[in-house]
Amino acid sequence: MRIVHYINQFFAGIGGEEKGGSPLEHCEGPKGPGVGLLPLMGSEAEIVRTIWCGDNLINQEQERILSEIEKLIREVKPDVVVAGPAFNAGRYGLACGMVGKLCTEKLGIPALIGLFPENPAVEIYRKDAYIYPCAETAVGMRKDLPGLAKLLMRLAKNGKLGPAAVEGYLPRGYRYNEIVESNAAVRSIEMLERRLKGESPATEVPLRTFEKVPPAAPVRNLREATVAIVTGGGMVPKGNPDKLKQAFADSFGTYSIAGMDELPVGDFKGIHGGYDSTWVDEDPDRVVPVDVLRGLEKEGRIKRLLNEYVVLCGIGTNVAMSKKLGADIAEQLKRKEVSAAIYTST
Amino acid sequence: MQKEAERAGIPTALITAIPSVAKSVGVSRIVTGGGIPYPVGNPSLPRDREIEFRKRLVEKALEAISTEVKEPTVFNVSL
Repeated sequence: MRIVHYINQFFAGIGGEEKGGSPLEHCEGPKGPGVGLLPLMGSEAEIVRTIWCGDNLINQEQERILSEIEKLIREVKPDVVVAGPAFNAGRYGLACGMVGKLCTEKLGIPALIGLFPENPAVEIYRKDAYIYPCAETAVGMRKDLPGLAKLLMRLAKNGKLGPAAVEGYLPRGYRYNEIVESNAAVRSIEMLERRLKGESPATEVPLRTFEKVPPAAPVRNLREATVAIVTGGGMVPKGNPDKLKQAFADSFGTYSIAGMDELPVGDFKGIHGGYDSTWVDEDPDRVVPVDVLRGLEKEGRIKRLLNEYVVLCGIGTNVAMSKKLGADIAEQLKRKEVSAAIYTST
Repeated sequence: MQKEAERAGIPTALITAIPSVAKSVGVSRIVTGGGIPYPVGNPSLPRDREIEFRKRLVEKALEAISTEVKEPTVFNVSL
């Protein structure tokens, strides 16, 4: 059983965010999580090659990097490719999805990815590769690996997996024909009866998970508008006065920009735990665009730039917490009579 | 986060270098930004051109906010 494993620069031991641009590299044999995965799969399994790339590089130069990964995978003729687990990591999750899609679509090799079910990459790539539901953070690695190993072996042996509900991967959104005893009318009445008894029968038609919110009505006249800046990019006053968390945000900060024509270099600092803040520290307006909005305010293109901006570190935050923080921020903007807001995310 | 603002009736535009994620989670108005670690910048440009680029991104965001949309929509500026 020949396996290729894709991981990122962090799990390859190269480094964290400061190494997000590190090059595509590989080695023969397991590395990082593969070392833990391999013994769980029995003696016939072999991780023939481990491939890794910096998360920023693969996301920014997708086409070039993927064509190199394609060559690296073809060379060793694997039976199956595994990527991650990437937990709830945004760019790493996307990278795993890209690799999974490449394998399934272009190479005809089955692929399995480990992701937290709320990882945005799930919605994008669930149709393209099998996704095994993992914990939110790498703390869950030990618990996740046995299940991942089991599914990986089944996939390597059979080339495909049975229904998601039986096998334990995330539903891919495909529907297959199945022969059942009773017709839909009978099944729906049975389901209703069970529901009336207080049971909760599983639906046959599950809905997608991300809630749809209808867009707000557009601003009619920008010249009358008060515009606010909100960022998930972690740019805070020097010293991080409110001790905002660098990841897994559970609060946000609101800071004055009154009298400022730009965010002064040195007075503000990026503390986001998910990207290298070198460039935004050199010029904080690269993430909180006070300079150009002040300019537009002076030109009269907008009535007013709200004299404070809102910030948190948007990384690893789950949907429930994002909703809560988003709603709290919205309420604050409403109170300040903001007409529209520009959000930036890293 | 944007969705909660939209729900409260405040139109928003999100400037991000990864519009595919924003689109998949249902952000209404999305502007493709300069780069992951600098959504409204591009350090490879000379300073005056970078500010011009930032201005174009923000103007595009304001245009997005003034545009009626029915579903997640990506707006792009040319370099």
